[in-house]
Amino acid sequence: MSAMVPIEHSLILAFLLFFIGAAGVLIRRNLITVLMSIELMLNSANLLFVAASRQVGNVEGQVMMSFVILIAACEAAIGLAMVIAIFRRYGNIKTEFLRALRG
Amino acid sequence: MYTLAPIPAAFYGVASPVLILSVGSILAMLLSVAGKWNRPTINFGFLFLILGLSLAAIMKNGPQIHTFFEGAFQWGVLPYVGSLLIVAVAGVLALLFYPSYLQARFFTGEVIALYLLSLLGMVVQLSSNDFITILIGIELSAMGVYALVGYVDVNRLSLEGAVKYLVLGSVATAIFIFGVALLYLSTGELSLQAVGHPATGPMQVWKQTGMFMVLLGLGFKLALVPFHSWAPDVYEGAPSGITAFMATCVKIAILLLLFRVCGFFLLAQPEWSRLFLYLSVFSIVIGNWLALVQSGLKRMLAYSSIAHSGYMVMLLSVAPQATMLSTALFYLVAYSVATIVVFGVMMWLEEKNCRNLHLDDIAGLGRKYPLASLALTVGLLSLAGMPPTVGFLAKFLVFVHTLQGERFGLVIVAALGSAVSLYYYLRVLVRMYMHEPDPISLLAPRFSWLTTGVVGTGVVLVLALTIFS
Repeated sequence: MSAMVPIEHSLILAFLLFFIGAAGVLIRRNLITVLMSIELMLNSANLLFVAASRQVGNVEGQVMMSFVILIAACEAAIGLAMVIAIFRRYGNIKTEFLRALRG
Repeated sequence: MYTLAPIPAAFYGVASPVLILSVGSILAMLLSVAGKWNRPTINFGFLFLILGLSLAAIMKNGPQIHTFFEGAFQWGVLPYVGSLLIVAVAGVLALLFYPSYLQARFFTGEVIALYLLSLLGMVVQLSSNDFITILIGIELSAMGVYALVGYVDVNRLSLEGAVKYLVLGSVATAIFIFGVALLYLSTGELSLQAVGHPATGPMQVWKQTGMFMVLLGLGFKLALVPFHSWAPDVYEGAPSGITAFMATCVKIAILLLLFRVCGFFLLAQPEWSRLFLYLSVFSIVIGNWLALVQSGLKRMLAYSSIAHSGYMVMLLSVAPQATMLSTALFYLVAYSVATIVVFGVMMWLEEKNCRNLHLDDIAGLGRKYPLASLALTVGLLSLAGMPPTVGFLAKFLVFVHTLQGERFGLVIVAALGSAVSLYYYLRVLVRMYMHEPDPISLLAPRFSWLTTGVVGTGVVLVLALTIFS
C-alpha cells in the first residue's frame, strides 16, 4: 500500500472543520448559512468515521457514515422547509428577526 | 466478502412494538391523502388503535432480555418500562388534544404520522446497545418533534421555536456524532460496551474526549444548564400539547438513554460522576432562579422542567446502586403525571383564547372554575414536591439515594433549590385564589368530558401514588 495518510492529519482536519462549523452556527446571521454550518459539523464527523474505519480496520465506521449522511439529508429537508415558512412570514431569512421569544 | 445474516424468527416477536409503530406511521401518511376519510375522528381512532396495539406488544414482550444482531437491538427491563411509560403518556396527551382548539390540526394524517414516528424513535433509542441504532432513534424522535413544534399550530412563535430547536438540536446531534466518531477511533467498535475496553497512548485522550462529547450532546438534548438556552424558547413557542409532549415523552426517552449510556460509561470511568454533580447543581440553581422571574406560565414551567432534569441527574452523580433505575423511573412517573395535570388544565383554559397563558390570565380562577383550579393546585404542588403529593415522595427518594452516595453538599443545594421553587409555584396559587378576576382577559372554555377525565385521573394518581407505593 502506498503512503497512507496518518490518522493525526485526518483528526486535525476533522476538528478544524467541526470548529469552523460551530463558529458558523454561532456567528452567521443567515439561516441557510447556519444550516450549511451544521452540515459541515456533521461532515467533519463523517470524515473522522471514514479515517478511523481505515485505521481500526473494520467497516462499521463506514456504515455509520452513510447513516449520518442520511440524517444530514433529513435535517436539511426539515430545515429548508422551515426556512421557506419563515421567508413567507417575515419576507427574509435573517436570524435577528427571530426574537419574539426571550426572557 | 460480507454476507447478510438471516433475521431470526424470534426477532419479529420482540421487535413488534417497533414494527407496529413504523407500519402505523406509514399508514397514517396514507391517511393524509385519503380524501374524505381524512377526518379528525377517524385519525383519532387510528392513532389509538396503533398506540393500543404497540402497548399490548410491549406488555407481551415483558422485561425479559432478548439480544439480536450483536446488541444492535436489545430488549430488557429499561426498554420495557421506558417504552411503556412513553407510549402511555403519548396516548394520554393525544386525548387532551381532542377537545383542544388544535383538534383539526393535530388529528390529520401527516401530524399523527410525525407523532408516531417520534414515538418510534424513542422506543428504538432505548432498545439498543449500538451507537448506530441509538443515533437513528434519537434523530427519528428529534425530527418528528422539530416538525411538530412548527407544524401543528403555525404562528410566529411556533415557527421561531421550531427553528431554534432545529438549529440547536442539530448542533447537539453533531457534537454527539463527533464524540461517537472519537470513541470509534479509540476503541474500534460502535457498541456501548466498547467504552469499557482499555485504550493506550494518545487513544486514551481521544476516548475521554469522545465520552465527554457524547455526554455533552445528550446534556444538550436534555436542556441541562449550561446547555438550556433553547428550552424556554421552544417550550413557549410550541403549542401547549406539544410542549407537554416534549416535557414528558422526549425528556423520559433522553433521560433513560442517558442512564443507559452512563451505565456503561460510569462503569468504565467512575470519576465521571463529578460531571453530573456540576450539571445537576447548575440546572437546579439556575433553572429555579430563572423560573422566579417569569410571567408566562409556559416559560415558567420550562425553567421548572430544567430544574427537574437537574434533580434526576443527581442520581448519576453518585456511584451506581441497584435502586438507581427504579428511583429514576418513579421520579419520571411522578413528574409526568403532575405535568399532564398542569398542561391538561392549561390546554383547557386556552381553548377559546388560542394563545399562551400569562400569570394575569389566571387571576381569580379559583372563584370562576373551582375544580380546574383545584387540579392545577394539586399538579403544581406535586411539581414543587409538597408532602401530600407524589412529587414529594419522588424527590425524597432521589435525595435519600444521593445521601447514600455521600454527596451531602449536592443534597443541601437541591433542597434549597426546591424551597426556592416553592415561591414561583405558590405565586400561581396566590394569583388564582387571592386576586380579583379580570373579566375580559380569558374567554370561558367549554366543558369537556375527555379533559375532565384525564385531569381527574391525574389528580387521583398524584394523591394515590403516595399512599400505595
